Amino acid sequence: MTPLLSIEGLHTTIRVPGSNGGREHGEVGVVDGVDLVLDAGRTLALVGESGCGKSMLSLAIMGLLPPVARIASGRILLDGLDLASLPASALRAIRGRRVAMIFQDPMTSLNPVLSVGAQIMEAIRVHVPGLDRRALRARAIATMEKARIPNAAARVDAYPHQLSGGLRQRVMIAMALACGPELLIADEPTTALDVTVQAQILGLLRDLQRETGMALLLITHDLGVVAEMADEVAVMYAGRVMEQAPVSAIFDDPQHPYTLGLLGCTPALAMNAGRQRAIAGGVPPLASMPPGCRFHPRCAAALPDCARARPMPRRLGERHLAACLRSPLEASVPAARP
Amino acid sequence: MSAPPVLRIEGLTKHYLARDGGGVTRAVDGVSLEIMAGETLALVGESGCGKSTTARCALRLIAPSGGRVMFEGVDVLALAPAELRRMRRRFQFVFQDPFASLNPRMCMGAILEEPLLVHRMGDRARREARVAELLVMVGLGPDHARRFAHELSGGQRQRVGIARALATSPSLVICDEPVSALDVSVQAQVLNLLSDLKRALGLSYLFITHDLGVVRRVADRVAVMLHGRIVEIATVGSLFGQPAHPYTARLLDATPVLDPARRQAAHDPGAEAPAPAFRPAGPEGCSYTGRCAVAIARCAREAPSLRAIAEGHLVACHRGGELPLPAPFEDAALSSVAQRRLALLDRLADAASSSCNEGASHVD
Repeated sequence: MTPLLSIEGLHTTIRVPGSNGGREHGEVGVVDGVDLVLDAGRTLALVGESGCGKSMLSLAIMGLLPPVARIASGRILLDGLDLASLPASALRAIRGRRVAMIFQDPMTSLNPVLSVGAQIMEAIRVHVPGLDRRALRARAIATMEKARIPNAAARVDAYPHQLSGGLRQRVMIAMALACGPELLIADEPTTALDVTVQAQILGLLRDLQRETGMALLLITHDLGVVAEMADEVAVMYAGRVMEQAPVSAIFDDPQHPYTLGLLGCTPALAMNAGRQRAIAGGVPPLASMPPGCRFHPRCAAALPDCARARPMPRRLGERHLAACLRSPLEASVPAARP
Repeated sequence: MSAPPVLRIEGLTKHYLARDGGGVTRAVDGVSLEIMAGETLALVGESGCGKSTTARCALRLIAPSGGRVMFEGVDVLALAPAELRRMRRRFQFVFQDPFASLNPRMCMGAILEEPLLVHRMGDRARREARVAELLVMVGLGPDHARRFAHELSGGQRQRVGIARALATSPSLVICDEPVSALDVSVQAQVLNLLSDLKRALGLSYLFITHDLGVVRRVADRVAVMLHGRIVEIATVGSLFGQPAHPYTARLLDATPVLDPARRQAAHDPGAEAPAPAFRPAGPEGCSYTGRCAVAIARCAREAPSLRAIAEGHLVACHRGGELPLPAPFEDAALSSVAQRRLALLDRLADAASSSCNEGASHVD
């Protein structure tokens, strides 16, 4: 069975002004050789801190990279169709219809001067021509009901500012679902929301996924959200996938020092008060990525070899890959000293 | 033995009148709090609950509508403007967004010197020395004084925000969501810095956050706010161990835990809770009644006031302490494998730092 989405060796770059501040431009890599697979109906969580390339990756899938960015190499296969090489017109027919996306901040991604109904109807009209106003409106209301917006028939005429943050995100979800996509990309969908509303939105996404069988690519920095939602997890750092595994393995058998570091410094409700574990240092700037493993300058387990060559992903279990020379840690670090 | 609290807030209110004359919004509705010397009190709640407004009113960044605020034994609300300005040396703010709260046109040295100039502290040489001292205190180097905000990472900027708050040697620092805008690995560094500084300088913190994981980390006591009122106050241990208000239990329950085996199977199908951002004007009823699973008839008629259900544990709920609330918080730690491997990494890090001790490294 071919996976719904398969990303192979994806590299994206952005153009940066040259050092002389003049005409010449340089290019720096953002997403640096990423391979990912997502099956129909499953949820893949892409985890990482700001600047790790997770949003750039999702925009590349949507064909929505900003003008300064481009796909340098690699393939993005949706059911065997390479989105990376499609012309813009062909991509437009897929975007919104087969692949849809929701963003972090529903306030800035909705148009404030149009009613939410008009915005949902626009999404439908683009992909389903020939519907009259009444049919469009009925379909918009039905979509809003699917996103569990109470009193949808009245709210269809509301403007974004009249709705709460949670309802706005439901409108975004309704818009994304309007054409029944096979893949929904959700970029930090609950980061701007309160925790009780977050729980509702995550529950809604899970329910909708069960009802429609769509696949979900969930981009987040929050390991709590990952634990709540994911089937598979890819941990990204500085443009590369550091570790990839089924969700249970990420929490029960984390291998990469970066994954461990993230787990260790996520403030959990259960931890005893006291010193918080931290990862020393910060994410390196795009223009000056360290050689070898990009995490090695911050890694307690780094060896001289880590700075020499990029570690290739190693297989550590079923569907469990880690790009670390030290994995498994126990084998390469002697147990407690006498 | 019982020293007076650093800050005591009594019955603080802030009411806003609707522009169309449509009534009163009680953004802060009778809040009372105490912060002891050396204590961190976390003020928790969802957006719009009035936690930032409470802090800002208490220290007169905005004018409160009523109440009393004693800071180090002085009635803050009765101070004349000049006295208030002098008093402000002693309480300072750290803000959420380190990108918005540092002037992009000023170098870090000028940003840190500004509070000293405003409060006429020291001559030029003394101020320069103080700026260098502050930078080192927050884990940066004296050379950062010449840098501008765009040259620093988010974590470094927030360190400067903290240094600026400490410039005038305050006793109370109000931290308003100080780590919400930072990546998790950097959050941990900044939280550790705040707790180190608290110990070294004997600070008290009023720590405003919506993140219960952060609360667990930093707080001694926690006050939970809802619709302008405090609904529960307790020590961290009691609040997480035996939450007594249904809203506290709901917050704990909604916070995701790091364990895929404990997913929330159900979510409330009622979609959006019918909760207005603020309780409607008028004193009748508990504002949580509409969302509360254990509400009784009395809850709609009569607003509960805070009462003690155990030593130091106050709750504003007619049924607080009477019910075993659903899902009293269970401990869920990292998996044992993860803990063992983290310990291995710790050992490697210790070994590395003891073998090459030269050159104190700056974090970030």
